[in-house]
Amino acid sequence: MNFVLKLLIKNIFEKKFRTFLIIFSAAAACALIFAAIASSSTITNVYIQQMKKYTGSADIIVYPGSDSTSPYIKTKEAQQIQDKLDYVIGCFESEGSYESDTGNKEKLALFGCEFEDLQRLNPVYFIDNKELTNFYGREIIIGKDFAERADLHKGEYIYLNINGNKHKYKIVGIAQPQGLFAEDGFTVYAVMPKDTLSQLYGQKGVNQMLYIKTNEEFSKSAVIESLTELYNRYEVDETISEEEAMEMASMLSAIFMVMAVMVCLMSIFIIFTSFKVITMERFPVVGTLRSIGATRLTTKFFLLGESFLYAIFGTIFGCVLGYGVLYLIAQLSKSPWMPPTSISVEFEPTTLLIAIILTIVVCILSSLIPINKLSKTPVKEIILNEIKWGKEKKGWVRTIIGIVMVTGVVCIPPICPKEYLGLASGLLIIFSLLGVILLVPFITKVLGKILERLFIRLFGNIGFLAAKNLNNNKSEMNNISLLAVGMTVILIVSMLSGNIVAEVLDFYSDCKFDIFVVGGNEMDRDFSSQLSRSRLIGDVHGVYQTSSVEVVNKNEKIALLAGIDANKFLDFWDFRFELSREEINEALNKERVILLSNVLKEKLSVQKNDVITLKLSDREKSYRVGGFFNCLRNMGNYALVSEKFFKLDTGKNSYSEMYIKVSNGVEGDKVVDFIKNDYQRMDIFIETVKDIQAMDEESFTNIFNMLKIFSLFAMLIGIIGIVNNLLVSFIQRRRYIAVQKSVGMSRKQTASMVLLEAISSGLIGGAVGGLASALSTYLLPYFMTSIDMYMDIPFRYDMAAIAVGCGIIVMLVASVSPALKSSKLNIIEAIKFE
Amino acid sequence: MSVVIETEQLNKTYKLGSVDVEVLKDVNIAINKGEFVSIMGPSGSGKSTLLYLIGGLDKPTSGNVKVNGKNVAKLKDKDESIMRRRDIGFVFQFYNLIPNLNVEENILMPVLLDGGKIKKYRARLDEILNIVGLEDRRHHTPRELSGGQQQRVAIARGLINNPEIILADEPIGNLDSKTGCEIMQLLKRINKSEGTTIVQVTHSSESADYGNRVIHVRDGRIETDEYK
Repeated sequence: MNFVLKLLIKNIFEKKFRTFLIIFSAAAACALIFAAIASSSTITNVYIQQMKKYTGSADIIVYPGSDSTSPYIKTKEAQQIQDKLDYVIGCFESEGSYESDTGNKEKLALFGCEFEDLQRLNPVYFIDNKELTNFYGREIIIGKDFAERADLHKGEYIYLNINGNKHKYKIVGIAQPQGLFAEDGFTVYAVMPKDTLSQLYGQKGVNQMLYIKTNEEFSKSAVIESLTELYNRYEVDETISEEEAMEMASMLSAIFMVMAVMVCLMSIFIIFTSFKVITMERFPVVGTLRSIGATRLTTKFFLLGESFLYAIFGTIFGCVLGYGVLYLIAQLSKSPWMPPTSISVEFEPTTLLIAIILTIVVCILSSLIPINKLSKTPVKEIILNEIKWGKEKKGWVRTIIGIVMVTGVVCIPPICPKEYLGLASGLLIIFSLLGVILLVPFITKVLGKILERLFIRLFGNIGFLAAKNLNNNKSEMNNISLLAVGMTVILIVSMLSGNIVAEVLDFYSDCKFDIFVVGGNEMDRDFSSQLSRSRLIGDVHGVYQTSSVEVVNKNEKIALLAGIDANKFLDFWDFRFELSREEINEALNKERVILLSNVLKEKLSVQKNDVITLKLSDREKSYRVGGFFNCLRNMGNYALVSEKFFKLDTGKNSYSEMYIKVSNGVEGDKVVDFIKNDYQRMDIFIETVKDIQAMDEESFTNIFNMLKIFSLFAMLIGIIGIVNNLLVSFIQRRRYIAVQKSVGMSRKQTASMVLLEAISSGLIGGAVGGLASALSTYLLPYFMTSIDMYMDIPFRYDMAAIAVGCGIIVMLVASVSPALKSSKLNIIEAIKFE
Repeated sequence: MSVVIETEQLNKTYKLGSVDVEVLKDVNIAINKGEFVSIMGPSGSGKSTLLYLIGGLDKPTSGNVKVNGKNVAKLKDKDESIMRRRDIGFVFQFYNLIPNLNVEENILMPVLLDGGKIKKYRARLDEILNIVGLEDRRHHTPRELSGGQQQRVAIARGLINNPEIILADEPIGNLDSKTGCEIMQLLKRINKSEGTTIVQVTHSSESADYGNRVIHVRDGRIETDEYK
């Protein structure tokens, strides 16, 4: 056994580049399978970590709602179910502002909480690593970043303007930028004892918000139910919706999985072609073993052992690589304000096990066909090296299977039920690739004929010979396939990202205003009127909104429902309505009419004048569908009703969003600063449309950078595979190149022929890749529909042209070494010794 | 008769590991136009090496090889390649055809490399296909032909540019005796009708009988050089 193992290891390290190629292919497959599966839990974890900045370890919050009799809340009700809870922490929240000696103002969110409670809820770590023993009276904890900006130190005093008065507090601790104190660019926190803060508002021992953590032994939903009964006039919510976070993560994870499968296909391809060469090289060893009595099974296990060893090495590197990819995904999915150390990679050990097993299966299966072929060959043929490889297969069968697969890819999605569309379109993307690969010999034959005629005109007879050489040349076919798959992966990512970013930009082109304001419960008509009176502001419009509105009996939700003043709304948003402004006005104000986006029309399968029932504030209200419009807001999942009926049905009296048009010649940023300064007390988010657009672009860029990691692997594997194929091709063809040289082919002609072959392969690979990408861009909208993202993904000819150009360059660069080797080939050695 | 091939003090040494192996030692021969020469000798005697040096497929360690007065060893790659296209036709034991090209394209290979237009060579192609008896196989690929037919294609390829010399390395070494006989008759016919100088390397005395001169090589030296 030891001898066999030694022989296997010797075999593996005999051809270092090939060993590297197979191990890298296996490692890439392992890494990407692992990263794709684990990305869901890692991204979910990142989202949860991000959201935990505000809510710490609490999983439920209770706060006063519009029905509450008091703006404050007590803990005693929650204490009735104390046994089901780990803690109930009451807090008081407010705002203040700090003005530096130079006159710079900074808004602070003040969090009133006992220190022991804070340590349980959202632990604070001080930069001097010291503990805080007492925290009472006029004391305050500030964050490191704020302290540095304001040049404040522990033990010093800070003056804050709170509720219209100036107050002095002693800084008792400067916190590390973690949890509450990690600055996200929007809110800067400071913590003070709860009673110190509440007393400023004439209250003592009261809470504005309860943070609750469920005991692990009890279900969160059951506890929410109990708390809803106990606090029946208050709002009870879970702090973080794990479901929502998982949904978002699984969407990305599904895209990663499709990418990973594509890279796996390339790995299978490379391992398969490498093993064809390996089995050829192992003839003497296998022949010797067979002649001295080894059975077919023994020799088969001998070769499978080699494949298994490659798989083992591949999984070792793959796991490390996969962890790295996962770490990158985690870093890219986090918000910029989160420190890199706050993010951890999350995965189950079973995920790792699945990736390892799948990699071993990929390696064994990829090598099984050539190994089986060798083991079935009679011993005489092996010993005499008479085995026939690459027998003429029935090319037309392959072509027909390819055509059937491509036809299926085109025909199935429109008739596939929506519930299976995600899985079906994901699988069909892979099938489209397989189908196109099966068509490579046919496409090469057809395009080869065209290139023969073109090249003979452009490059003379050498061009003709180069184009001719593509015919039935297995290595060139492999190169064309590898190039096509690599190109498809890269084009899918580029077109998808380019399109989504373009849609994001398009969404903002619907905005006919300059500033976007989002608020809690404080934006009302008064606020709107005050803003309107400013000479900086041209016009203001507020809308009422609610999210996740259940449509009764439809098993679907309207992601965002807005109550609008139609007359004014149309001055602020440029949605493409079927109806005129007058018709919209009339329809919305007369009765309960809802206008649906075209996306919702599809989702809900409704027609004009159908009646749908919405669940609003626990009451069911019927709305007649008045018409449809096209918009990109909320990925197109958006509906409009009249503000009159919205207020009646939801009981909401404050605007959720306000849109501001600045006066002529006024900078949007100036207006934002003005509102931020003059309405410091209000809990609102305000930014110019331009800035929000930039933020959105940045977050999408991060998501697509994750995808680019996967396409980078595809590109790397593709290039390494192509280099290997060209070298194998050179070894296989050196005899024929020598023959051509023996009948008068000069060095220059040889090098030119090899390079022209590279150009031909690049062009055909580009055409095949273009076809596969076109099929993928046809399938992607179906895939996106299954995850409720409705968008067309047009085929980008410019990107395809660039990809073809890059493909030709890759082929040319990879062909330089074979071209030089070919031109310097020793004719006699190549002809006499194969 | 004019001398078309001439070697002067021709030596060839190969390195085998750290050992120098002298394959050819001071070989001097002169072959006249229109001769059919058979080079014979045991394995490892240096006969194939001599043929390759004449054809410019290998470089001598010392001495000269002159083909039509040109010193082959001193030619640049371009001129050497042109010489192989126009002045010499090679025929190998294992035919050495290009598998993805059909019979016509294989035969036209030297023309293609010489930048010639296929159309201009149609008549010559038909003539050669007629000589080698493969008119009905012109669009077949090598894998669709028998060994004898493949060797005929190789001979036709050697003839397409109407070269003065054909160098054949064991031309019937891979064929059965009947086919071998046919190929040798074909070469003899070409030698007679076209006036082409043929130099073949062979183990077979029967094959050597088709020529008019036999050179025996042993241990890298010319042992005998006889006209029949």
